[in-house]
Parts: sequence; C-alpha cells; structure tokens
Amino acid sequence: MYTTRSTRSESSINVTPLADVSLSLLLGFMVITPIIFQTLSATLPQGAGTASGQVKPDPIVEYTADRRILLDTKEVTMEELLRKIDVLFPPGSKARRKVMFTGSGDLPYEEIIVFLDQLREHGVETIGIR
Amino acid sequence: MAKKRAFDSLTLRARPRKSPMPDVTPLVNVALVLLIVFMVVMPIIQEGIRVDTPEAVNLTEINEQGQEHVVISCKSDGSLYLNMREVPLEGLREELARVYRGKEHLPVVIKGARNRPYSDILQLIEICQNAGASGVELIARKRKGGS
Repeated sequence: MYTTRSTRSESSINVTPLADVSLSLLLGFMVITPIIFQTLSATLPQGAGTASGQVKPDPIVEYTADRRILLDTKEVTMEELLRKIDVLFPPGSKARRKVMFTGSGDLPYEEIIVFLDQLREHGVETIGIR
Repeated sequence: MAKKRAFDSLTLRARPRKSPMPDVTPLVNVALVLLIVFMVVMPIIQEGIRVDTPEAVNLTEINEQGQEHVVISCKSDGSLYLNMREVPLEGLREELARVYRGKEHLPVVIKGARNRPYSDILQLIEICQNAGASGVELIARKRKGGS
C-alpha cells in the first residue's frame, strides 16, 4: 500500500518555471521597449542675422520646383554640388559640414527627403532649413 | 449516534487534500495574456498616428526614453495631429506653444506624409520655429535594402 502511494506521479504539470519566464519577459517588454524615431535632423535659424558674426556664411542649397539645384544661386548638378561641398569642407578638415537648404513648396515632401538624404549621405552633418 | 460518527469521518476523508504548492495556473494565464497584449500594443504605441512617411537611408535614431518629444503628424489627407490629438491648422500655433512650453531644448518631431506638398511641411516648420524650436526632426522610414 505504501509503495503504491509513493510512486504515483503528480497529476498537474509544474508551471512555475513557465510563470517565471513569462513574467520576466513581460517586465522586459514593459521596461526596455523604448520609443525610437528614425529621423533626418534639421536645424532652424534663430532670430535675424545669425550669419552676421560668422566668418564664412553657410552655403545655401536651393531645390527649385523644376528640380534644378542652385548652390549660392548658381545652378549645379547633383554631382557638382557634392563635389563643391567637398571643396568647401575638405574631407580632412575639422569643420562641420553645414548647409542651409531651401526647397520649393510645390515639390512633394518625399522628393525633399530624398534630396536631404543624399546630402546626408555625402557627410553633411547639419542641414539648416530656411 | 454511531451511525452519525461514521458519516462525519467519511465526509472528512472525502474533503480534497490541500496541495502543498499554491496553484499558479491563473497567474500564468494573466502573465501570458499581459505579455501578448504588450507585444501587440507596443508597436502601435510606438508608431503613434499612422502616417505614410517617406523613405530614406541615412537616418539618425532618437530615443524617446525619459523625454517626451512633441510630435506633429500630417497625414496624407492633410489632417494634422499634435501628439495623438487632432488639431486644426488654425489652432496648431496656440496648442503647440502650450504643449511645447518647457521643452524648448528638444527638437519638434514632424511626421509628414510622403505625398503632401513640401509647402505643408514648411508651414509646420515655420510654426515650430515661432514656438521657439531650434530644430526639427523629420521622420522617415528606413529604406529596405538601403546601405
């Protein structure tokens, strides 16, 4: 009689490890999951005459409604623009690559982002929107 | 009398034996349900207002943890949302000034739909500038297959 009782297996499954794992996962999700934005950063000029104290004003890149690119009012192609950026900010120099950008309001927002993305790809760290 | 005693002992024996371990099954159920709810809801909370944003490759990541960015969303139909609340364009200026107060050190996050004209986004940027923002963050999706 005694031996029969001792060998009888437990009828329910031990769920405690499962509870441990799921509670840890839950806490992990609650605490760790951050909200991450993937963005293109742009600065905004503050007040008037921000460039007045500067030695050299930032180059102004303009993207017109007919998809022409103007660098300081001179028409350039994308390749020329990137080359001129390299001349203005030589790759070895410590100067931050900063340009001011003006886009035509008639263009779709997507095209502007693609354009800014190309500038960013070419190492332009700061893009000012005006 | 003897008959009653026999009955008592019988009922006592019939009473279910108390298990030495507490029953954790309901706890597991609740935990698993919460886990699934979190797994489903978190991406929705992260995304906020659903906007068809443009795609780009060279994006920087801003972590929201610990700081609450102000997000302006402009959907494909032109409707505007300040954080999660819809606001008309006329009321955006005052609303933004109210919400953005004390957060001037943070850039305003702009989530524009890809098909909107850039003038709409420029208008939002100008409103942000007037509210005292020193920068804006333009949300884009990471292009798949991009370097």
